[in-house]
Amino acid sequence: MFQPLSLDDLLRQHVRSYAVWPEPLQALLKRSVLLTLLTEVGLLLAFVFVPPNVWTLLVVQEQGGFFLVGGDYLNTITAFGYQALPYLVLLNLVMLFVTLMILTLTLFMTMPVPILMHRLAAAHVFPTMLSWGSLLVLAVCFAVAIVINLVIWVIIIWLTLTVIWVFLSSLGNN
Amino acid sequence: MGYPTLQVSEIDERGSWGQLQNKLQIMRDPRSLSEQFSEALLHHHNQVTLATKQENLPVRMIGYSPLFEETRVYPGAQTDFALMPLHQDPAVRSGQPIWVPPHALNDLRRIRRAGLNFQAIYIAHELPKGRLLPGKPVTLDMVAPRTPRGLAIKASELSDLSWKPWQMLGGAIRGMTTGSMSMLSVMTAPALAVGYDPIVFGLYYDPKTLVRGKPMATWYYLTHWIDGED
Repeated sequence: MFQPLSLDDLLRQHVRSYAVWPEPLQALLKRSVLLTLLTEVGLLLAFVFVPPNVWTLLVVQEQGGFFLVGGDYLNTITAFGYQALPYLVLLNLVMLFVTLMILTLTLFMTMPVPILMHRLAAAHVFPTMLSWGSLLVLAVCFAVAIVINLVIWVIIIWLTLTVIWVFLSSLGNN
Repeated sequence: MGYPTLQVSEIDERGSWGQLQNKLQIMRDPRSLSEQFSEALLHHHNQVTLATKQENLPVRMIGYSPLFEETRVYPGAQTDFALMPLHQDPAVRSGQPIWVPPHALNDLRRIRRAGLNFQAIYIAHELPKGRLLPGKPVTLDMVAPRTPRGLAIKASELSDLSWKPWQMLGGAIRGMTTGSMSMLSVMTAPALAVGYDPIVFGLYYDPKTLVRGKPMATWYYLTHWIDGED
C-alpha cells in the first residue's frame, strides 16, 4: 500500500502562501528603479567630484552685486543646503545600497519576486526624491530671485536712460 | 455489530455538499462499504468532532470511501473534478509548492494546531469541461494557479505609485504634465484571473479495515479557495 502524505507533510513541505507569490516587477516600477539608480549614481558622482567650494560659490556674498533684493534669503537657503549636504550624501549612499540589493535579488529585475520586494522598490523612490526636491527648491529660488532682480535692473536701466534722455533733450532745447 | 452514533455524514444530501459527495462518490453511510466499522476511525472521528467544536474549525465530515492511489476524474454538467492524493498533485509531482491564499493556509494551520493530523490529504481540482481527456494525466498547466487578483492589483498600484514622483518631477521640470504615462499604466494593468476551486480533504484511515483490498477511510472537508482569489 502507498504511504499517503499527511496534513503535517502538506504544511511543512508542499504549501506556500500567496503572500510570497513571485510576481514580476511591472514596467513602470522597473523604470522608476532605473531612474532612481541613475539619480543616485549621478548625485554621488557630483558630490565626490565637484569640489566642496563650488557649492559655497552659490552663496551671494557681496552686497551691491547683481542681487539687489533677496540675496540674504538665497544665502540662508544655500547655507542650509551646504549644511545638509553630508546627510544627503549619506541618504543617497544608503538608497544606492537598497537599489543594488533590489537589482541583485531580482536578477536585474528579470526574476519574479514577492510583493514585499515590490513595496520596497516603490518606497525607496521617495528618499531619492528628497535629493531631487532639494535641488529643485534651490533652482526655483535662484530662478525667482534672478527674474525679480532682472526686472529691477531693467527698470533701473530704463529709468536711468529716460533721465539721461530727458536731460539731454532739455540741454538740446536750451 | 452495533454502529456508533456519529457514523453517518451529517451533510445535507440535497445541498451543494451532497452534490459534491455524490460527484466524488463518497458514501454517507459506511454500511454500504463494510460490515465492520473501525474503532480506530471512530476514535479519530470523535477527536475531529471535539476539536472542530472547541476551536470552531471549518472541518466537515463528508463520508466514507476507501483510499486510492491514482487520480480519479469525475465528470460534471459544467465542470469536471479531478480528485487525487496529495502526492499525485501535479505541483507536488513536479516539486513545486501548492499556492494557497492566507485564509486557507490559516484554516489548515488552525486544524493542525488543534491536534488533528489527517493521515492522508486529497485534493480536488475543478476544471473546465473538456480539459480532462480520458486516459490522460492531469498536468501542471491544467491546475497551475493564476496570479492572485489582489496581488496583481497591489503590484499595479505600487508600480503606479513609484512612477508618480517621477511624473511630478518631470512635470515640475518641464512645466507640464504628461498624459502618456497614465496611458502606459493602463496598458500594463494585469489581466485579472478567474479561477476554479481546489478543495482540500483530510482523511483518517484504518489499514486493518479493508474494502475491496483498500483501507477504509473517513473523509473530511478541510478548506477550499478559488484559484486567483485572495
